[in-house]
Amino acid sequence: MRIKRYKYLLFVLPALVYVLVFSFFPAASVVYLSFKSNSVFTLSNYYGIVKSDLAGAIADTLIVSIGALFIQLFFAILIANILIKSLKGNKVFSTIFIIPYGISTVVAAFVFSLILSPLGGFANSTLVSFGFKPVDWYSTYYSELGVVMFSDFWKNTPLVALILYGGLSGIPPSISEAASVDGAGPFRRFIYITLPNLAPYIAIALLIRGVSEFNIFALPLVLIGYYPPLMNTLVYEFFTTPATTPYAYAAATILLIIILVFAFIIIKLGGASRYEK
Amino acid sequence: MEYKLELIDVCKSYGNKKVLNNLNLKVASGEFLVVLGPSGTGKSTLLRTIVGIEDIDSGRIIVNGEDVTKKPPNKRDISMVFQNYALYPNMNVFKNIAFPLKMAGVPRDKIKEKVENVARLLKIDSELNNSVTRLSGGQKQRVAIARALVRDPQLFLLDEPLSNIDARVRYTSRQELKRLQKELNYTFVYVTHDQAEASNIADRVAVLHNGIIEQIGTYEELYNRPVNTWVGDFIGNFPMNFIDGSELGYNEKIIGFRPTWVNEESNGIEVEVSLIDIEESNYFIHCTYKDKNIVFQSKNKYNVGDKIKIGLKKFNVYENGILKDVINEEAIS
Amino acid sequence: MKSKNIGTYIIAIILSIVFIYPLYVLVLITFEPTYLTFDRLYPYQIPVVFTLSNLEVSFKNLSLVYPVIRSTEVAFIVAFLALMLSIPAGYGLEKLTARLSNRIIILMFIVNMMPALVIAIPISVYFIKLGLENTVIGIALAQELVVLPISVFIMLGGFRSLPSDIENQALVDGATLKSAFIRILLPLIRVPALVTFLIAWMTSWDEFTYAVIISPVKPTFPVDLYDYVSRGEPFVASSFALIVTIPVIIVTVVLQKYLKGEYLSGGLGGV
Repeated sequence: MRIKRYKYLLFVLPALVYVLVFSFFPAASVVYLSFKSNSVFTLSNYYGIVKSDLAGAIADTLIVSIGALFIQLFFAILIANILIKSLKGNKVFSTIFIIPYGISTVVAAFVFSLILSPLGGFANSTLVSFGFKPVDWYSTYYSELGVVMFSDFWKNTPLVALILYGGLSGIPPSISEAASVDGAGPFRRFIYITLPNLAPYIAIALLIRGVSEFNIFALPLVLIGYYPPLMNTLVYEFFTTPATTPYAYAAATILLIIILVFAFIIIKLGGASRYEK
Repeated sequence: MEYKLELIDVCKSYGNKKVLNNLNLKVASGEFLVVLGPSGTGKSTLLRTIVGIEDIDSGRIIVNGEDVTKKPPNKRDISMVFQNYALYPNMNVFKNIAFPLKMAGVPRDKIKEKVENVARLLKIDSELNNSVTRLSGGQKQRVAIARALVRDPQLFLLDEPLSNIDARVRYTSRQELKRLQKELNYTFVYVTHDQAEASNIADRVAVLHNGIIEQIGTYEELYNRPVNTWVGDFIGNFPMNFIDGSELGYNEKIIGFRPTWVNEESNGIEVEVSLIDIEESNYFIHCTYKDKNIVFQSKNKYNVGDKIKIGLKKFNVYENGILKDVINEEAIS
Repeated sequence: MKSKNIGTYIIAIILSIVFIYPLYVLVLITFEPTYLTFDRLYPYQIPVVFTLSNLEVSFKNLSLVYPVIRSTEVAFIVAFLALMLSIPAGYGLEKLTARLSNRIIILMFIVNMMPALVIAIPISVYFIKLGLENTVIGIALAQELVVLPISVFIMLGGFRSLPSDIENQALVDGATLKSAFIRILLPLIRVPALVTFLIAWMTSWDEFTYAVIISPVKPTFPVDLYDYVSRGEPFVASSFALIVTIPVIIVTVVLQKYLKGEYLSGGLGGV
């Protein structure tokens, strides 16, 4: 019986091995290469990146990832709740809401660079035509991160909304009706009925999106370039600059360690077991 | 005697839980055997091991004299009807029924003939071109049974096939199934938790509990002579009544009797009425006797609190939970 | 009740504007002369002139076509490979205990959390040795890593949603494992398979990190577009971007009924 069941692991192995091989060997060689400079073993690559803003890049990546996730989640819940109502014209809305999913990230980033220009641009053009003062979207460090987050929200909310809409349609209306008979208003119904039932779907959305948010690269590269630095843009800058190419390995190694610690925390916090419910 | 199916010392566990524990069972050719048991006792597991979907840990399974223990399901020549019918949603009714024949490599014109015959037999010939997703519960069940019948296998296993259909349809389906089985002289092993079903259609009933067959026999045998107190408790609309035997001269033993084995007589034991059940034109009087609950059938309607005297027409004697003696009316007086 | 719906409509319309506006801008800069858009500090928002000259410029520059062809090829390879790997994996995971299968899925997602660059850079080194750098296959093999976890997840959901015992029934009906899989299971999982294909295709079409590292000389469409933008001549590529984006949007919209959340979160609730 034991053996019979585990033979099904064989079916999983190709995919699993693919993922592990394609991650493990590159990760191992990154660590190896990070200690090499001009074919000698050294820590010089690490000295090199100490001078750079790696810590800032990590912090920024966390800010952007978590911020973007929250915004996406909020609007995705809103959209899912709109779509679940049998409103007239819902077909049109659901069609519109999916459009960003069909536009590739670089195209979206490019369009947003035109809309949210530091000077002028389409957004300011709208503001000015309504008699407002134009805004420099790139005026501060954090507003630049905000530009990235907003574009990211636009591009990726549809996917989250799709997942949550699936979750919402799985909640039988009778539960909510029973709650309203029991005297719960719309807000309380949402807090006590909808949200708990939606929780596993939110977890899935966060898992799927969280992985990608951590890897955010094309959007900031097009929109803000290398500054403020995010993890990926920083490594890319090292990598593409011939003098600092070995630094990229050292920075990547540090990222790797952070990710491993992070993954370990997730597993220890029972992310897996919570998901099993 | 020729057996269609023999299970010899079959063991099966999931992790630490023993689901089948040295189980032995013999089913005669042409017999309608019902496996009855409370839910979660491994009734489905039993069928799954017989058909070969689940391997057994030890023991042997013999079908029509041939050891099939190590064979895969498709080599065992056994049909099974699953609880939810497991119809292939991507195929219409005809293709569903034809599937086993197709797998067996039967020529196309022969398939058509056989499917049409079995469909007529089950009165679903007008549905052959319909999608199975549109059928009613009763029709689905017929398709599942037709698919099981069509290839004329050695043995049929049915896992609560009537549990998903309306009560009224269930009754007629039951009769029809029984008729079909007798007419075609097929061997059925039929799993259910419904006693009415078991008493209605079974040639013999096997009571499965704790991974073993506690008792096997006709429903009357199980009802009248349960081999142990557990079976007595399990079989019957009301559990068997059990009282201390010392009152009737059976020290250290337990007396078991059915609600219908009681008569009201002045020299019997005194009980107090606590609740009255009405069923058709009979009253079932629940009463207490020395802190024990007793139920008996009566033509009289008593009131709660009445103290009455009852005697026993017959009873069984149990020692350490095992049937020792069957005492009938004459023996008492 | 009525007034509540009005509130919902207002929110829905505002969101619709937000979601559709960037596409509108893309259309605007494609069909408006550049002196009204790129060249103005405050570009015109309302179409006043209609021109095809931007498109002509783009199409004269045929080098833009090759990245699109390359992207398409890569996306199809990635999507096919995703099916080849995720269908058996989903089938196998469904048979394992929910505990074990969920752990394997989580492991795949977590491995995927490693920044793509960390993986892409050394892979590019290997690929140079293997002659896979700047090849369609090379990009596809690397991008497969991104789509596999979600593909396996969707297929696991697909197999979990099958009627119970359907495979067992096929075995009992005389099918071998292989014929049960091909005749019964495969037809039943075609919708989740389609969703997997679609998501894998779109992810690859969108993917930038692996593409830019592994194939810088023969870029895919997103990389090529980025090159134009970073060289400061976006208008050449922008009208082209619209032309290749429109079909993808249409496919997305047409197939949106299959992109339902229950497939994307299909692995949930399996016990």
